[in-house]
Amino acid sequence: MKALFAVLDVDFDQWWALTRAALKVDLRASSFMRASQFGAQARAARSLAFQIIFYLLMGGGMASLVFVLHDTFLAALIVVGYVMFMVGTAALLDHNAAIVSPDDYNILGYRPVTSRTYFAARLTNVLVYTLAVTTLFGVLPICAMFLHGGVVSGLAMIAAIYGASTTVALAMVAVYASLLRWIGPSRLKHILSYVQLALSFVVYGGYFIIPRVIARKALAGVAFTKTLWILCLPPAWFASYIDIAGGRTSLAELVPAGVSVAALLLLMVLLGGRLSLDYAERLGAITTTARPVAPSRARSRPGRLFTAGEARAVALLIRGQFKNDNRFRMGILAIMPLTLIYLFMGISNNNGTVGDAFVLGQSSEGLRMVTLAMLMFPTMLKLQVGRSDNFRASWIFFACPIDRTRLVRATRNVLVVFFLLPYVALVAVILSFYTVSVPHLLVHLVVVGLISNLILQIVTFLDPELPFSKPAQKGRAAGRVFSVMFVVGVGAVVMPLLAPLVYRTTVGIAILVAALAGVSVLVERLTRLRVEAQAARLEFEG
Amino acid sequence: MIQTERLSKAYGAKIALSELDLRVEPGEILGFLGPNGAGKSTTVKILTGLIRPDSGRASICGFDVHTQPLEVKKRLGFVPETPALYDSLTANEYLELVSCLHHIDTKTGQARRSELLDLFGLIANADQRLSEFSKGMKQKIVIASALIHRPEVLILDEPLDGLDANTAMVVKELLKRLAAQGKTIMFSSHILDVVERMCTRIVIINDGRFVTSGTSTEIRAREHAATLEEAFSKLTGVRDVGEVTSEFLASLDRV
Repeated sequence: MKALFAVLDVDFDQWWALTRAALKVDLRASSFMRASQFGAQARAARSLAFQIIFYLLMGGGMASLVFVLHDTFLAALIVVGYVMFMVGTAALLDHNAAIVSPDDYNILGYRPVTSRTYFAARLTNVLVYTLAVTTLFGVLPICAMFLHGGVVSGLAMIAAIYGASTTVALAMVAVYASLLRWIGPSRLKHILSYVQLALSFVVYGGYFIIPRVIARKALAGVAFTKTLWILCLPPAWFASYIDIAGGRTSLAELVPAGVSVAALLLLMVLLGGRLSLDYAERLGAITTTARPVAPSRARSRPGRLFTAGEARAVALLIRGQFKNDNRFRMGILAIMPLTLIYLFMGISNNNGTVGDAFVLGQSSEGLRMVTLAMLMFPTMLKLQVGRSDNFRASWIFFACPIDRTRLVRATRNVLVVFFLLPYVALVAVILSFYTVSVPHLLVHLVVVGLISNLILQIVTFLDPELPFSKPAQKGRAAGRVFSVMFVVGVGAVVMPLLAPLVYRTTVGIAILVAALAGVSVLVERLTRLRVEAQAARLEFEG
Repeated sequence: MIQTERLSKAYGAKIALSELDLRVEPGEILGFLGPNGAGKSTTVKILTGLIRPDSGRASICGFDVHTQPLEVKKRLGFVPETPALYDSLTANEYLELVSCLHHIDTKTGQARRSELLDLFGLIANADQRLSEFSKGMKQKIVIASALIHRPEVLILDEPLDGLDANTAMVVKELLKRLAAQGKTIMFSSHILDVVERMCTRIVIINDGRFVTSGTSTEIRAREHAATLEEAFSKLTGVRDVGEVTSEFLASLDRV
């Protein structure tokens, strides 16, 4: 083993020490460390158990596809597609920091560790996490393939799932490391969130559009044929293993499988070569090289709505974080790829329009996917605003004579004004080009906007937090996003069925809006009471 | 030995260091002084290999900091200004990690960890996570991690920050004895009293440039100052302290 590492110019002992330390740090930071410190171990254990159960359930759903679909290639294609999406999302939301974060460099930069050894340790850290997620998700589909297709197909499924997972993880690492090398640390720092946004389109777009189009055709009874464009999809490369295991060895199977192996090898060579050579130094430049910052155009007013006290403080903070904190900005902007992809799907399924929310049936389905994104946004906002790498700076909230209840409420209000309302307005503008009735669309968006606001109130009620006051946890963001997608997805399916019934009369609409406003006021009252009790118990975690 | 030759570094238009020449001999404790923004941290970052100079050369024990960084880092113990640590590791785990990075064998590493934890009165806290440590306790761990591989050169940036009086005395005595053993020590601090008492020689820089060097007595004599503090103020161009304070107090009544 040591000899192999020596060939790669990686110091085995240092790699092992760094890997062990990083895993300990991640495990403790993501689950029990904070918990044990603040007496909420059971809660953290529940959160971990929930994530495990969630991935297993998703895998269970995929396993059922293996039995339902007669075409094992198609089943493998969908399963592998989901695996690639999950690993890509985890790398985007939770692990980009492992590759481009300069934090470690402050601790390790002056130790005698080569760039390659350091890079190898970071890469191992990402792979361990993504392979753990892959195992949880993939175990049931793999078992299903063993039962359904036999031992050889089961083994091929193992190779396909882990091969795909490893390839995505390595590809994401290669993208970030290449950017660090070619764009340079200082520019990368500024454009990182936009790079991640572009990657989001690839990851989310691949996940949502490709498997659904394939599944729709296959499940609709259309004969599933391997067209050239399907074979161009990365999941198909790995899914081809299943066909080969089943004895089909034409070029349509061998070429994609060969491409998958070549891609994996290419990534390994790339990462083992120039990308890792000066990685540590470039990473270090992010943290240690101060560049003169151009004076900002003096526009520090956080809006006219937040003029004093806690509200203004929170508005200044959130605005500043959005401008300067990549993780926060990316977390917020991640809604845009989702929205646009959902919009594309809605339009493509509905003859180029989003249909009419007032009409029951197929016509309103064009709006369903966009509605899904709009209902997810509040939870994403809440998720981002509570946790930060700068959580230690929240001591100020505990040291100042502030009203914590007002601070929590102000945080929610700022999120609504800065992000939720502009987002709804932007969606309204975009959808107005694709709707058959602008007035109907506006009414629907007002309702969806109110529901989104209500969701934000409810998630604040459930988990009142001071802004940016808790440490960011690896694995948490991706896990939560998957969970929210699932729950909100159910709501988005039901809504087009119920909405036309309510929208039928003006009175119905008025009652719905009044009811939403009433519930909102009620939740506001309850939140106030809960936050008063909860906020007093909040403790500084720094 | 630490040596820099015409070391320069700029951040955009801002010149952080300008042709700085330094030499610290084995057995010497060099006090490295300068006001905020003088270029001390930049010098330290270059010497520890964290950043590259724009021009000039830096070497430690004869090894070039940038062409032979591993050789330099093997011989270097560094205490950074801000103690960055992996908070979720225990004290023992963190020191073990550092031992591994310096290829210290398990048995020796364990013995040295015990020695250092005992020296700093942290034996009872060895298996406690660093997140639960106070600032001073973390500082002790950082100092311990700088000493665990028996470095030939020590670069210390505000090493006494956060330490209690007893531990500070231990560290000061330790540094003196290490210097007596022939170690090279560079000590950057804003606490001039400590620098004056500990350091065998002092270098003052300002605006990235070398200003003066010598023993405390020599510098005070040259500047006709009663204390090192007064000499430092004169050399780094600080306005009269009494005048500045009076202006501020007067402004309190106006605003």
